[in-house]
Amino acid sequence: MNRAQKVTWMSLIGGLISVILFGLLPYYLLFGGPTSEKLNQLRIATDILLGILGLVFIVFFGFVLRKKQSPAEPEADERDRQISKKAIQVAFVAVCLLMFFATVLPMWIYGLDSSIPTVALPLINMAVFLTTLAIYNATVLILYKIKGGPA
Amino acid sequence: MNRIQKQSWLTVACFSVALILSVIAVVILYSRSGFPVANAGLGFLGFTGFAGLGSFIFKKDPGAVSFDERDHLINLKAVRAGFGLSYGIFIASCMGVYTYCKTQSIEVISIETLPMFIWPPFIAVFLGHAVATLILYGKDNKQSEGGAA
Repeated sequence: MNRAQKVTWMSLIGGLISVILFGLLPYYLLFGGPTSEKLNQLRIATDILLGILGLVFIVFFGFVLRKKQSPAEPEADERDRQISKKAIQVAFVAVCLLMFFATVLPMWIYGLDSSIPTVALPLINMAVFLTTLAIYNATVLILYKIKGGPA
Repeated sequence: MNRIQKQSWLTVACFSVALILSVIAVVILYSRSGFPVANAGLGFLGFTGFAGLGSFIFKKDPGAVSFDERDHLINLKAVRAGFGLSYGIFIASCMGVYTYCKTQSIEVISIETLPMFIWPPFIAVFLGHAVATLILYGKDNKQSEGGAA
């Protein structure tokens, strides 16, 4: 398993943990019907989780990714770059579809006369971001598998 | 100037005209009647559709190679820039509205506002692609023969 694959696995697991946390939060807090107090708690919890996630991403992409495992570790080769490029393209197509469904589906499910709590906006944002990240990572791993990279 | 550049200029022109006319119309209608009547000004965004005629107006360049490796690379970079900008605008608009509502103590918003979040990124993806194409061709033309695209 090369460096890119290890990073992808780490990112995929981190993303899934975040999805579970962000998914469980509204489920527990709004269980039994939303109230003003519960929405306020959800807003505070979302802000804290967003802060923690932002910090983790800064540390992960700013410091951990830059550090080489050993001085002999090679830089990314042409194949790694090609896989990354293809995965980015797939992620961009996915993000467009996700943005569309994230904004249109609630209206379709709940009807035109309903309303949504404002705290749903960062949750929608995070759902789109984490799903896109998962799609990118899955594409990278699948492409390495198809192209017969190091296991 | 090749076909892609001509199409990009047409896209930039159509989108600019549409955006400027929409803003002017919305401001005028808002000052006279307020919202939701002022939303009618957004109808000028329909002008952006004329950008799609670029493929029919500008025919393929004559010659054996009409779209070489350098053009592919520039187009790929421009597509990525367009999508990146679009997603950035989506994040900014979602978080911007959330922050505004938090400061104004607004707890719920109408579900009808949700599809509004898709339009700025939708415009940005095409406009960003066109502008990035023009910038990248401009940069590339300044470089010496055989330079990186």
